[in-house]
Formats: sequence, C-alpha cells, structure tokens
Amino acid sequence: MDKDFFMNAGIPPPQPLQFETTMPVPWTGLSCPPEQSFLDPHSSMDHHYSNFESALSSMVSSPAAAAAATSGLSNEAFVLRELIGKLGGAGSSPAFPPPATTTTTTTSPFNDSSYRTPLGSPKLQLPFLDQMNMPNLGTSLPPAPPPLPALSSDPGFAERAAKFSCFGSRSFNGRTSPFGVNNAELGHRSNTTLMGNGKLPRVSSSPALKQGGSPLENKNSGQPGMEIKLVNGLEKKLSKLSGSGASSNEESSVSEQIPSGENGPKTSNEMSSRKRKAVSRAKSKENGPNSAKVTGKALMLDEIINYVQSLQRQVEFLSMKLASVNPGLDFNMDNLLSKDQMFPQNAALPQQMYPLDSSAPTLYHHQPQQNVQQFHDTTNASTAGPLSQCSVDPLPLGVQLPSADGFSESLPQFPAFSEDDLHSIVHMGFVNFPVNQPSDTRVER
Amino acid sequence: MKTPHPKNPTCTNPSRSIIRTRFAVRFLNAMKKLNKKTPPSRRYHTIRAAACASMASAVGPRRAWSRAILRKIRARTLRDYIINKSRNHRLITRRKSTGLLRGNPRDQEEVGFRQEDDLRGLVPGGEGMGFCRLLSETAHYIKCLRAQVQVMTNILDHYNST
Repeated sequence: MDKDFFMNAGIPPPQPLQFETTMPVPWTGLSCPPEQSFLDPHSSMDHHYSNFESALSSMVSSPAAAAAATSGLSNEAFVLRELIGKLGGAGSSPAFPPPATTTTTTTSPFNDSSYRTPLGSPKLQLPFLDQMNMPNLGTSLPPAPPPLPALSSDPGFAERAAKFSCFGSRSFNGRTSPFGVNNAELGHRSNTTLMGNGKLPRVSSSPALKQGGSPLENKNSGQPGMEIKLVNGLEKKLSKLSGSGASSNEESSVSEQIPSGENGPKTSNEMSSRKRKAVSRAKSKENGPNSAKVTGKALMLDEIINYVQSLQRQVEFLSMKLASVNPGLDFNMDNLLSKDQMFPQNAALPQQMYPLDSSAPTLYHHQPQQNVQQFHDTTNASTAGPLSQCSVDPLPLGVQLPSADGFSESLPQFPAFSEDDLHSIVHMGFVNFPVNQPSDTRVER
Repeated sequence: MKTPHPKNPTCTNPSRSIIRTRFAVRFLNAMKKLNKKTPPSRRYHTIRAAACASMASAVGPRRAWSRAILRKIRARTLRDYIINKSRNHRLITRRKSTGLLRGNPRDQEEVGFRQEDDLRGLVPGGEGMGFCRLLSETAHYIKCLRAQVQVMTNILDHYNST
C-alpha cells in the first residue's frame, strides 16, 4: 500500500549532501525546533504545531534570502519532499513517516526503522489529527479545525506544496505512481533536507513557481492547471489514507460536538439521545467492511467510540469519587432502603424488595389485600417510608397467596439471594404493571 | 434496545432497570467487602474492578463482552493465587507477553478499519468477533455502562446527602 512506498522505495540519495553546506541562517530556526518536536512522537500536539508554525513562517519568509535555484527540478523535488515530510511529521500521521526521527543520524536516509516508529505511535491519540491533517496537506488550506491553526494560517504554504508536488512528479517519470514516489522521496529525503534546508528557498524563487502567483490569493478555488489537478489527486490519496475524505473535518467537528461529560458524573440528555441514535444506526449499518468508504459509517463509528470512551471515563471518575468518599460507610442492605428513592421510575421493584426484607414477614400478609391502584400511586412517591412501602402490594392480588408464601419464605434469605431468586422477585414486581399478566409461573421460579 | 427482555415479554423498560438492580446489588455487596479489607491506596482500583466485575456478572454469560471480562477476572485471580502460592514471577511475564499482541501497532491498510480497531479495543472481548457482532455487543455494552453510571451516581448522591 502507500506505506510500502515509504518503506521500500530504495532511492539513492544523489544530492542530499549539498544541502548541508548551503544552509542559510533562517533555516537554523526552522531545523532545530521541528527536529525536537518530531523526535518525540508523543509530545503534545500544541508543541508540534507551534514548532511547525514557526517552521512554516520561517520557510515562507525565507524566499527573499534564498539563493537562486541553480539545480533543476530534482532539487525542487527534494525540497518538496522535505516539506511534505515535515507536514507528515508534524501531524504524527501514520501515513507519512516523520522526517526528523533520523535527524540525529545525519547521513542515513534509509533508516527504515525510523520510518516505522511513527506507525507505533498510539492511533487513538491523534485520530482526528490524521483526518484533518491529511486533507489539509495537499489542498490549499481549507478552514482547519482547532488543532491545526498554524497550518491554516500559512497563506502560501499549501500552494507551494502543490507546486512542489507537480515538479516532483515530473522528475520521476519512471516510477509507478507520482505521489507514492513523491512521498517516498520525501520520506527518504526529509531527514537530510532538514539538515540542509537551503533548497526550499531556491525552489520558491525558481521561475516555474512564480507562475503560481495567482493561486496564492485564491486558495480554495479549483483553478485549472496541472498544479491544481495534482493537488486534487494528492488530496484524494490522502483522504483515502485517512479513511474519511471530505467528511474528515465533519467527523472531527461531530466528535467534538459530543459533550464531554467525563469531567462530571452526570450523563447529559444529549449524550443519551446521541447514544440512542448511534446504537440504532450502528445496528442498521451491519454491512461488510467495504462499506467503510461510506462516510456516514465512519461518522457513526467515531461517535460510538467517543461515547464509549466517555462512559468509561465517567465510571472511572465515579469510582474514584466513591473511593475517596466512602472509606468506612456501611454498605449493608439498610442503605438500600434509602437508596430506593434513587429509582423513581423503576419505583416498583427496588422499593418493594428491600422493605420486604427488613420488615417482618407478618406485614406481608396484609399485602394481598391491597389494591393495585395503591401500588401504582405509591410508585410515584419517592419518599415513601418503610411502612408505606410495605403497605403497597408488590404482588398481584389475591391470586398468589400460595406463591406469596413461597416468596415470604425467601425473604429472610435476601442477603443470600442467588441470581435466579432475584430474577423472580424482579419479575414479580413488574408483573403488576400490566395487571393481566400471568405471573404464577414466574413467581414459582 | 427496546426489545422486551426474554424473561419479561411485555415489559420493555424494565429490562434496563433489571440490569441496574442486579448491578446495584452486586456492587454494593462488593463495596461492603472492599471497605473492610482494602487499604485506601488501592481502593480506587479495587472499586473500579469491582464495578466492572459486578456489571459483568449482572449481565451474565449471555454477552461476549461480559464473558470476556469474567474470563479476565478469573485469569487474574488465578494468577494472583498462583503468585501468592508459589511466588513464581515467570508466570507473570509470560501472561504479559501474550497481552502485547493487542498492543502492537497495526498497519492501517484498509480504509475505515482504524475506527473498527479502536472500537474493538474499547469493548471488552471485541477482538475475536465480526463487525456486525461487534456493533451489537457495543450497543449492549453502552446500555450497561449507562446503567452502571446511573447506579454509581445514585449511590454517590445518596452517601453525599446523608
């Protein structure tokens, strides 16, 4: 796949060493911070992008100080590869091997292990980064999501990248795919070009690039020309790599729209509604893996993933709070009595179960005489005391005295209830809601 | 999700509260035991493990994710038991090495598999099932997680109020 281009394109470095000798002063600022940022794939994104922004600004500002383009298209291709490699490195994307991991090894551009290390970076850390970085890479700066402010703020960078890509493809006609080769070249050249970055200013000042003066102003327009076509091709390729294409920005926005409830223990209504939507859509989208190209599925998967992560974080947060709050509290069944107030909507079952446990079985005998109506009324009373709770009949009326006896026998064993007993109690409670339930069989479980 | 519970053919809503109740009972029992013997330093981890375990046992072996959690817990308790018995640390490292299979970086060759793999990593036991099954397990897992969060929130509120 595309990754293989990076790894296995054994392209000899004919001229990288020239760069080191012609490093102008502005490039020192460019080279050092990105190296540090790229060397640490786990550094913060902000660190990446601040360095990257400085790198880009220095690159943009340096054409005036650059030497004239002496060599031909091949040098421009090297610089282009360096540029795109830096972009890939800044985004820590698995598709683009970061260029600077081998900057310490100055003269070993074919250190494949360095290219593999970024693939080991945690995928989940920067998923939306990949989505956002890839389309931005080839195109001329669509409105970038927050993690990439630097890239979008650079006005001429993407245009230059586009032009560099077209020059790079021209210089390697014999290769299988222009962009694959481009990226491979980038991967190989990037480390060396980082050391000697003099080529970039030369490329930018080359006469061929000055044709692109007009696209500088009109970034997002689809202007005719080979440059734009190649940019679009690169964008498509990148979008395929990222897996979501034009919807990548939407995905990230949707993902961030989900309220982050992990900081608070409360589940919000929006999250529940989103979850229902997500679950229903997930069940409906039971297609094969080939349907991953449908953007809706990727959106849904992202939403689901975020929701599951947020729920897990909430559970962790709540367990932390429980650990800190309850060092010596008593968790016996008496607490459950007052806990009954916590389930007003399920008022039937928990309220009835536990007071039956605590109350004597003698109280139980009064219950069959109660009304179901009363039962329904008291289910709404969340603050019912034990007596009033006991006055409510959890069991169907009059029908089940024999089974009720069986139930009362099982009551004292409540702390030792097995799961099956619990089931029976639960279902007995719920039988009442539709009164015409035949509950005998369930009661006798 | 709104399909009637198999034991309650007509009542749809109670299926969620059934899980809640079962989880609440188990979790409270576990907390009772935990409070007696765990030191405060490990309390958070034990409570979190107790929450997971009680949720898994409340669901039962019907779901793949609950089976995976129970399997993990049993393996861990067995390992701890063996360690306590024999102090054999080589056993620990052997088990850890098998766990690395999941942690290896995967090549993202296909489109969209990244998210699927992420989901598999999130849902316990999501490794060895197809995508459709993964989605249904995720749906049930989400439902149970919500119930868990609600119960724990209620417990917290209760103990904070009293």
